[in-house]
Amino acid sequence: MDLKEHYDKISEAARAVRQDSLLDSAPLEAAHAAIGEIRLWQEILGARPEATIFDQIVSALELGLFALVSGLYRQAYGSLRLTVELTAGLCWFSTNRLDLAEWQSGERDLIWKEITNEDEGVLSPRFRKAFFPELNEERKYNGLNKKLYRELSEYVHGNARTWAGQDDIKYDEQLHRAWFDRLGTYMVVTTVLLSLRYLQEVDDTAVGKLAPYLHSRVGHVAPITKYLRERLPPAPAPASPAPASAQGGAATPETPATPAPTNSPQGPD
Amino acid sequence: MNAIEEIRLRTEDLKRDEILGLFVPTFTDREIVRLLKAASPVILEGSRGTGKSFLLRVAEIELENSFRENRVMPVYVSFIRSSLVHTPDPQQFQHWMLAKICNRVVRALKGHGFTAGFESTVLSGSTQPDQEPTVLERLESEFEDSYRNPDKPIQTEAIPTVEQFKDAVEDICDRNDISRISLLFDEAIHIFRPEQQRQFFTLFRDLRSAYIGCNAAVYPGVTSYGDVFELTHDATLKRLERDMLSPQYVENMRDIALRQVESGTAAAILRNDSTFTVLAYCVGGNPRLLLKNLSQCPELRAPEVNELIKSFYRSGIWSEHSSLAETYSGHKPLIDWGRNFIETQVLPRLEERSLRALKDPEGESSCFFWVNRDAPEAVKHALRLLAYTGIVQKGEDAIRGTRAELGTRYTVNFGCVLATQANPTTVGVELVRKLSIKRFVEFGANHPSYEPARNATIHVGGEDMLQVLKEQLARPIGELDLTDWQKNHLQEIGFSTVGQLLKSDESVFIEKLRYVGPKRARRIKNAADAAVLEYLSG
Repeated sequence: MDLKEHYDKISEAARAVRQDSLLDSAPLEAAHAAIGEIRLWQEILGARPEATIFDQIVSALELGLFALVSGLYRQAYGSLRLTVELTAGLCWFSTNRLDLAEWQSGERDLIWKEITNEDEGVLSPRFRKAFFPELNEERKYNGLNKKLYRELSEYVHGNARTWAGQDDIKYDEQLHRAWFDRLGTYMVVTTVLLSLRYLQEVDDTAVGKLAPYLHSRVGHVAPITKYLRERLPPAPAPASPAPASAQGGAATPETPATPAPTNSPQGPD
Repeated sequence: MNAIEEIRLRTEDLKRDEILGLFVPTFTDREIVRLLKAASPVILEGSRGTGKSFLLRVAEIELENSFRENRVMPVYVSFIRSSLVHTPDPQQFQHWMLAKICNRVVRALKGHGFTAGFESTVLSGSTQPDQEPTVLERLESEFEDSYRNPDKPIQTEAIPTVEQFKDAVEDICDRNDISRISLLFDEAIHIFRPEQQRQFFTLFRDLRSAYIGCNAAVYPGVTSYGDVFELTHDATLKRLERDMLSPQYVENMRDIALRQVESGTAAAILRNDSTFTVLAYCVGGNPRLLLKNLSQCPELRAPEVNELIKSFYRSGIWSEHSSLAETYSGHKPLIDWGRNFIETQVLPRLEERSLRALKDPEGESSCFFWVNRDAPEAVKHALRLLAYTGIVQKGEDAIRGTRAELGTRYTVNFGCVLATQANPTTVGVELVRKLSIKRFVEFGANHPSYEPARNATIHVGGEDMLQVLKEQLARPIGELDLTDWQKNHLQEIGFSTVGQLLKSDESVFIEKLRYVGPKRARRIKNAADAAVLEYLSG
């Protein structure tokens, strides 16, 4: 077997996929903007021991993107799954210094079930009450995070439905777009998660830097927008254009939730 | 690789261990489950997709889980195959249903590891109860295959009488320390087969004993209870409705959706709360309708949802109703009149009210109408058919109209009311907020719009049901209530008609579906079966 010829052939197939993948650059640009948001959180939380995990998160995201545009879809989905796992892990370790040290020295595993546990995990009432008591939507986002992780895991474990087609390297628009949709979901969950854990602990300057991204990603989460309103002085001038965002994750946010009707039904005449 | 997931529309599509995980109970749901688990008989009434089967299954599982303490053994029996039963036997439904009940009871007993006694000969139909299939299992299959050879008589001597069955159950319960067998009948009646309805309710009444509890899920629109059954005395009627005006309504519908959809749609639901809220009101408390609507606009963008509401609730929602007219031609005049009545009489007047409510800060909106109790029977029957397909919900009887006359209040599906608006997602929440149950449009005893119905010739029960069945079996699978994902797979295997699908074997699905594992293939087969049987039952 001519190894060079073998790998050249694969590389050529990936290059051809890359050409197709880059035809529409908007979702990729939005994905890189999303990485910029993660970097901003890293910059703000840089002094914390667990913040080093941001490097791994960004690395997984960037390699995931590279795999995606190269037509290595299974690997791309797997990388995104790692990103999801590491992000929840980062928040988990923020309250478990010993666990972090053991994990970093390879003596401890990150256990998904543990860190997303409904009563004790990073999006549990326990976390919420400790770090952002008003953000009472943690269960919804914990459910969403677990759903996302389970779907991405199907690609890692090679579940039957992820094999519909020869797994060779060729452009697949559906898989390409679905990855960005899931990145969008990841960014929404991550923004809620990091806000829940850190927003009330960082200084006003940091909140000011984060505010446009929070409005863009999770403007629909009323407790976060309310908190921003109370914490920040009113904007002096019309807002500059909203930051670029990952496709599907931050379409123009709607007005906050409309409360359920309060008029109770009348009895019969 | 494939990034598309199927949404599972029916309880039959769910595995037993998934059901409790997807249960999002309202107060009413919990109350219904409690009643289903209790000894008193319950008739649970609801349109398609409202969750009747789901609640029966929840009751079954909870009774199973508490069997060690309470010793109540649940037995779930579905009569959805009643449309396939066509024999010369005038008591065919009673015989078929009894055989089926015996078979399910035996299976449940075996599942609990109870040893068979002498009474097992009654429940198996032979002196060799261990042979497989048992005589009664074979008879059940014969009945369900009888549409292929309707003139062939079926030997029913082996089927026990009701009294023999009750005695056998009593002996079994005493010997195995079982306090009661709780029978949960799903799809209990065929809405267009009054004979089946009569025989079912007679059996339901006759089966009652200290050792047997009976509960049944039925569609609205029962016309024949038979001679011995009286609804007010022999059962508690519970209507499965989710109250749109309840403060928890939207939250409950959101939870139901979040448990079923994929992450992208789940994120969209959380992000677009006001759009989702409007959609949740449109479906009028019907979870299956909600999941179907979500599968059509998973990103919940307001313009798409507006378009969906205007197209689906003006025409799509009527497709099932209108197809009834094609299938049951004897009912066509009334089915067509019902649609006409809603579209030309009820909705325009509700629209006027909506417009006034939007202009006037104190104004009240409505999705209710009232029909005088002395309206012609044909009108009431047409309204029953509208309730069957879920276009309207029958509310309370004996409500007083403006001249103090008595009548029945109905609710029109809110999506149909909202579809008359130019921008449903913008005004939807306000219209719901202003809904007043006291505001209904009234139709007196002799409203001029009744005339065509009054003159319509009705053939209730007069259809040639075998001919109807044959025509249904020849229809394309595109008419089945399945997701596009499921239909694509069925076409991939090569199915084109409902009849082909009915006769299909599970192994064909496992062998022929490419890139679909056996579990998922089985799931597709189950979903297809449920859709076919539901289609044939109406």
